Amino acid sequence: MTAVTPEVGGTAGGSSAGGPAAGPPGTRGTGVRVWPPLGLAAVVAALLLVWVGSNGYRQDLGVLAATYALIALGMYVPFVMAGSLSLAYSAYAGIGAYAVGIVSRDTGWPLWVGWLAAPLVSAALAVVLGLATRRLSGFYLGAVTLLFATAFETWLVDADGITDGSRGIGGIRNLSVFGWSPDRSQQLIMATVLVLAVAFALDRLRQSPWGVLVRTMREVPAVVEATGVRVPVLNLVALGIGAGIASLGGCLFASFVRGVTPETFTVNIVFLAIFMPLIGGVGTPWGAVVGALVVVELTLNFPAFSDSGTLVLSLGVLVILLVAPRGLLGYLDALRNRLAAGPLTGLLPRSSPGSSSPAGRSSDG
Amino acid sequence: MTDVQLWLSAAEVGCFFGLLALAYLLILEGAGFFNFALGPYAMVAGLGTTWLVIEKELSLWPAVAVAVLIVVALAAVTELLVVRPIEARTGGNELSALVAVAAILFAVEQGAGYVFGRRQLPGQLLVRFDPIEIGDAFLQPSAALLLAVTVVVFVAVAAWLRLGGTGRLLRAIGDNKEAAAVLGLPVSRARLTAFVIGGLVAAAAGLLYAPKAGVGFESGLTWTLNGFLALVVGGTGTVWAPLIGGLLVGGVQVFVPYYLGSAAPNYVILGIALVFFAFRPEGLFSRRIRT
Amino acid sequence: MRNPKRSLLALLIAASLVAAGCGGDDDDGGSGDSDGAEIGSGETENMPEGEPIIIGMDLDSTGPGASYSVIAGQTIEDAVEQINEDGGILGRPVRLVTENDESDPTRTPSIVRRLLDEHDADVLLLQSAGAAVQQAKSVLQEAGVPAIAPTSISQSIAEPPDNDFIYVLANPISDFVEVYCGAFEAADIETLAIMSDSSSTIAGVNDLLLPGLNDCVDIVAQEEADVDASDVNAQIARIADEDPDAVLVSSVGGNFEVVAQNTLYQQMPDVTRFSLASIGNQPETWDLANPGALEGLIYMASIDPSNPRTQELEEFLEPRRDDDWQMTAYDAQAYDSVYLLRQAIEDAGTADDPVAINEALQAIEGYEAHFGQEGFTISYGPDKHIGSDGLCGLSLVQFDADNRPSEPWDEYQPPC
Repeated sequence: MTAVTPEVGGTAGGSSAGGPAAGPPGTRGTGVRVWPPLGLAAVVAALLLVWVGSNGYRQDLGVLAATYALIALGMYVPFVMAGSLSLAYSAYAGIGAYAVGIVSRDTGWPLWVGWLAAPLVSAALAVVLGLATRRLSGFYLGAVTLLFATAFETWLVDADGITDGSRGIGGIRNLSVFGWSPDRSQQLIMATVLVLAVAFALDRLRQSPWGVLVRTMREVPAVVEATGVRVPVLNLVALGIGAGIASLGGCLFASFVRGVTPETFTVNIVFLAIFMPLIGGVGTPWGAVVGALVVVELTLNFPAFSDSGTLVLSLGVLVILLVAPRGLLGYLDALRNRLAAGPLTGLLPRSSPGSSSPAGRSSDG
Repeated sequence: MTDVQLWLSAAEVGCFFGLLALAYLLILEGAGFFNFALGPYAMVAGLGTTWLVIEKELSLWPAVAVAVLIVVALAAVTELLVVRPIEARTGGNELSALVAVAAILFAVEQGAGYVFGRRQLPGQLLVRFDPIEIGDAFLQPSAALLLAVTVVVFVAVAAWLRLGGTGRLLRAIGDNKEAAAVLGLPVSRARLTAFVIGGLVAAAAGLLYAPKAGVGFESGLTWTLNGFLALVVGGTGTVWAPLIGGLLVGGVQVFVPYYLGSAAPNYVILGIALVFFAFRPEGLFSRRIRT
Repeated sequence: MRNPKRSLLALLIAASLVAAGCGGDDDDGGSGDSDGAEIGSGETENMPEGEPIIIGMDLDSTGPGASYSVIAGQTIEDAVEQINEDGGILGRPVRLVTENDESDPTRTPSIVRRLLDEHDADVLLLQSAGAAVQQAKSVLQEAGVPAIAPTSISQSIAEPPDNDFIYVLANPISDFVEVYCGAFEAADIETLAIMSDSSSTIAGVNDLLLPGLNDCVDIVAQEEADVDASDVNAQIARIADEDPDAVLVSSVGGNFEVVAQNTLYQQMPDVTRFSLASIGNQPETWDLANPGALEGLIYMASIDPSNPRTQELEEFLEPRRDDDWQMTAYDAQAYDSVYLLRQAIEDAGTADDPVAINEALQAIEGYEAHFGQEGFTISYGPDKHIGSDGLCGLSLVQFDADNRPSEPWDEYQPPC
């Protein structure tokens, strides 16, 4: 197949925060636009934390949003950057949650040992699965990783000795860091900081030479191979990093909720995690974070959609795919550019969702 | 492996997966697309019929008709409003298509949960007669009907692909899409036909399998995966390949728990998937004269 | 949006979104299905005035436990309505606020916090899976608000740790063990096979049930299948290979129980079959079984038609239900839960002091339940959070050839 500009990639270059659409994406990472997204996100996060306050239920929502955001960010790495859709992310999140649970149940070690172990285990598993499926792509990869996720769920129920079967592990100890145990509010603040840090790091990574390489790989693997880089290795690294990040989401959830069962992370979360970056905008990792907030609000906290939250969400994603592939952030960004640059700029090709933007063709450099 | 009851079970499960795999194959031939929403289509047919009968107090056959119509509409909407526009915009990029079909799968599942309720409901028996005794085993009426309909559907589809005008067109497109377009064959019409016929086969499968153990809004995903697996195992070489694949996967589902315990089928299925996907992605029966 | 087809699509989907958002949610099981649904305010003429007392309910109307929770939730609504018609509690109206944790133990704490923090519930009803209610205990302990788990039979829910504010009504599984063992002895059953579903509720039940059964009978086979399994022929064939005297199906009921019983009936028509309570309490599943497939099945019933209070409740509920409605123990337990809460609030003399309500609950003595045999009562105390006073909250009942529960099993009945 020839190098067509894939839809998601076509928007990936064009919609990230700011800058006129020109040149390969790597050249736009100037200092000016590094901080605004992080600063803006920090302000929004702070406002959300104020809204949550000491309300126990809103704290739960906050942690769930952070969990979703980490899983979506994990999936973002191989999906948006390397173009391989692995659907085993419920398993990686599950590994994170069970790592924390098992450390709490079987050892006297502090919980953060689980936080350190889970990303390593998940990354290793992702690499093994990646090796086993290295010849697959697209639908075949999607199906086999989904089968893996279902088999993993069965294993969680089946491996009674390790996971306590379908009962799951409850009564997880409180998180404590060198003698200091943060209360629920402090844990939520830490979770928020973690999400901001991961999103920021991925944003930087995306624009680093490695990120450019990985994104180029998904569009024209041959070019990358020509530079002497082994594409399969690059792909495996992306899968490993993604799995590690997703498992942190599981660690966070189990530490905060202080329990985990086989039903905590089902394949449903995988679908939600595909949708989150699409809703927020695939052009930047921040899109995944915005998407996580939207998903939590729609499915759990929006009274009018009490029963239909997930339905509204999935239909909304179809609409976004069809008419607004750049997601919320992409459109906010376009709007801002239009306002900043005057009416003429708004007519430039990158504002039309259907056409592939010049920046998307990053591979021709 | 001498227990007749287990063989009957394997045949029933296998025919169901075989029908789903046939639906995949039809859409793959006509549109070059793996329609992962087929499992949820089958679920809608089964769950919708029961819901119409129980909640809306429709009598059986009108309920079946309405449910099947809903599935046909869903299949047509999938092609016309989602797959076609997205393929046109992205130049047939597989990743975008996969994301789109995942969104459809999830939307149909959640829509069914919203409309029909999230409870598992029983399937409707389409025929009633006494179970057929085979040795010391019994073949339930619903199972007998599923086996019979499977044979009829496969024979009909085989005949249609060989003799029918649109059927032959479908095969031509499946052989070479570009050439078909260059030759000016009505590719879009054939695509739509493939989606609709595939949807119909999936609807029949869901309708006939639902009485076995009921159907819930989340049944679709497992069906999608097992149907896909049956297609991959069987291959796309002949119309009958999906049935062989389905029977093999069905056999695994029934005999593996008998010999290895309840959780084993999921692992064995994953193992089969890995082996086939990695070493023989064209399945057992492949067509050799493909470009 | 230059493409007309695309704008049309957007319009269509937008329309369907609106429809989905505003559509009725009354199709599948009444208002209990919608989050935050409220009933019981401003409906009847003699409604008491004033600040309502809020009962928060976690009802898993869509999870694996939905098959029995929907039944209980409906009766809870009816009981609240009845209390309001009778002038409320302490002259104040009662409002029921419902949330749904979908039987997911990790969601339960959030749902309970939501009921407490967002809906300001004064007391709670936890009508969800055993494992889910288990997760709510620490939240209750922290908040200091009393809660009743109406249909729960896991005694560990009402045992330490964190059990100061949680109560169950019915006979716990340890009582089930006693009754089954008595039955096995009476019927000369020496070998038993277990067929379980793989839900977390049943895993919890089996943890309590099987060690006890192991002491009085030889468990020769133990098989398991998914709650939504469509075929258990393999599992039953493995059980048949062991040729047990009896088979006990341990499941949350619903389709799983039907599939298991159908298959047992087909493959092992002569074996004695036992079940937990679920199948007898789920009338809608009886017709799903193949004709005659339930005949002879013995299940743990908690309802005795000769109990006058049971008859009284049946008279109250009958006009509010469909023609083919059958009263179950879940109805009675749900009804009693609401009235136990009412009694506690009235005894405490206030609805605004949860600790006082909790103390009043612990002082309840000899409450005459609407389930069990006539002499069956419920009492609580500081160390007694399981209500049942004695085994006669239970009885063994057998299904007849029409797949209907009929007579008490004649070989053995639990003593009162």
